[in-house]
Amino acid sequence: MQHLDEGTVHAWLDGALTPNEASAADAHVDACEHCARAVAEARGLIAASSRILAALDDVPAVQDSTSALSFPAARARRRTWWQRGGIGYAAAATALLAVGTTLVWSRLSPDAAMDMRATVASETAPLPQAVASQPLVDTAASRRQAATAPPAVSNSPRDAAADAKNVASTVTSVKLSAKEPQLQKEEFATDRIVQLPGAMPRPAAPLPGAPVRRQDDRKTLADSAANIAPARQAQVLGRVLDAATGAPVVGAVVSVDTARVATDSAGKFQLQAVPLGNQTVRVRALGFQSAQRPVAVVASDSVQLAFALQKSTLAPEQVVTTGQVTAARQDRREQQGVPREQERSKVVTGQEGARLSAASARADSVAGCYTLSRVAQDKARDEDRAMFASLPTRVQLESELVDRSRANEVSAHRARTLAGTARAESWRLVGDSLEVTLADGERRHALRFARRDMRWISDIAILEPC
Amino acid sequence: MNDAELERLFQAYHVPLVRYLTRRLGDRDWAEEVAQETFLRALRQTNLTNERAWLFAVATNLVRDDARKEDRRRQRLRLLAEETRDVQVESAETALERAQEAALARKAVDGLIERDRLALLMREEGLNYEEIAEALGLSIGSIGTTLARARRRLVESYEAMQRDTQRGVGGGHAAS
Repeated sequence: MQHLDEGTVHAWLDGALTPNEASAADAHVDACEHCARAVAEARGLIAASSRILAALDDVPAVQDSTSALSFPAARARRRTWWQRGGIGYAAAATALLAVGTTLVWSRLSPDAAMDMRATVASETAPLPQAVASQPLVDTAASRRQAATAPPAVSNSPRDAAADAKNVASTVTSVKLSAKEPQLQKEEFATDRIVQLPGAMPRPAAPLPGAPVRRQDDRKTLADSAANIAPARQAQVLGRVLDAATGAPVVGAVVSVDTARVATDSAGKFQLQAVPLGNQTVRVRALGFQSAQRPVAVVASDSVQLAFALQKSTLAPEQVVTTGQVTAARQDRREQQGVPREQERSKVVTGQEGARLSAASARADSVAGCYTLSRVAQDKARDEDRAMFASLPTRVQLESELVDRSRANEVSAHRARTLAGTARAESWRLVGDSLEVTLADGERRHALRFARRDMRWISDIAILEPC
Repeated sequence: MNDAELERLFQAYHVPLVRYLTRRLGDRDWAEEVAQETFLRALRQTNLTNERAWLFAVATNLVRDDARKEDRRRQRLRLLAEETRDVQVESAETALERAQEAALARKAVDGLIERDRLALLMREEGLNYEEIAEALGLSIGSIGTTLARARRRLVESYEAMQRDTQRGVGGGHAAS
């Protein structure tokens, strides 16, 4: 078979090929190193261009004076970066990150759907009355995320197939195996979804310079907006368990539309501000098959959600990572006085020589956001070198299990992103932490993560220089 | 189209449409105006078969036809001038860096040819290949190639500019 041309690779990653074409591409890429590299590069380009385009969203606008039609979400975006001064660097960095990672996430999803075929193997269990879970995404971030991230679309044939499969499994009410005692025994109290008070839109005001003859039309449109604005959002609560053991799955990423949270230590999640209507709840966890289920989010009704995830049969060898470095940094201007540590967000670019070791996790471990470290400093600018050398650098990475066969690819991609694949060579659980050895094509790193939330604890060693 | 239909359409597409237009135009107010005009036109339609493609196509054409461009630009320059003063007051390196990134991104996007740019921006808003093809009058088979070229050029030109900028910054820093 001929090599895939670039357009086909992009179409494949965009989920635009027919199932037949897609499986042909899949088979070819599995066997062809050249094309596997092209796919990795295309993935990087897709992630990078999403991030570049997202940088356009911080456009100044006339503050709150023109449109009565903006929804609260859209309105929140109108705050440009210098108007967010009060939030602080950390929050801003988090927000930026949330945007970036979400974009990447949605870009990756067709592929992910391919690799982790979704199966919902769960009975719909009523919700616990009070789920005490703490969303990982802070409010500012989720607001921004909701405002700027593209809506989840499942236009990939694979996604569609998965959806169909899920609908079917919901309808037929998949029977759980005898290995899932907790889930079957679990008795939840049914409760109604707590509805968030919707923000009231501003009164309709004509646009400056709008032709008078359109006044009525615009008013109608504004009224429409006013009518639909108040009850647009609700909470979705639930729990994610390991189908085999009934144990809670910690750090599974649950998403609806653009809202995402990770499950807590009890496997519980709580999604704020979920738009009403027909939504798809998606659950992903490294080492497990992902699951998704269509739900109708209704303001005055309760949605019952419990997921039991099946172990993934894929070897957890590779992850695709993308992210952004945040480093604490000493402000030069204050060197004379008490040094002030400043949180500074630094975009990793390939040509700066910034290389990151990617994170991975073992099959029975956890997924989600990773915080870890190491940026090579050889080609970095003086300023950056000082920055990265003097203080801990954190790299927030979003990781996604990819595939068992495309090894040794690190296309550290550029622009505003670091995306690529790295191979986890080994891992072992030591108490509450997880030790992972990673190879990024040039070095092998040993890193230690907290098992609970995969936060980076420490570097153990760089095992081999390149 | 009745009000309920319009509401549904508005709820489903207002945010992505405004974002698409903002990225295209670099001006949120203008983008929102165009989006409103687009929805108003939808209101007068009786039957929309492929509504998302239709909305994005109409919005794209409205931008093309917009005769108030020059006025808008003047207003925008004035606002920018005002806001630049604020920036200097609150100046922080991070903020400046982000502004630089936004400026580079704008340049990189503006450097694309129109078809590539529109296809990419539509794809970012979740339009599938069929919808992009319909909205832009292209064949479905050409969308993958178009997007691949758009993405590559965007990223490469962004990176090239970033390198240039950093060389400039580095030199200045060494001199200081």
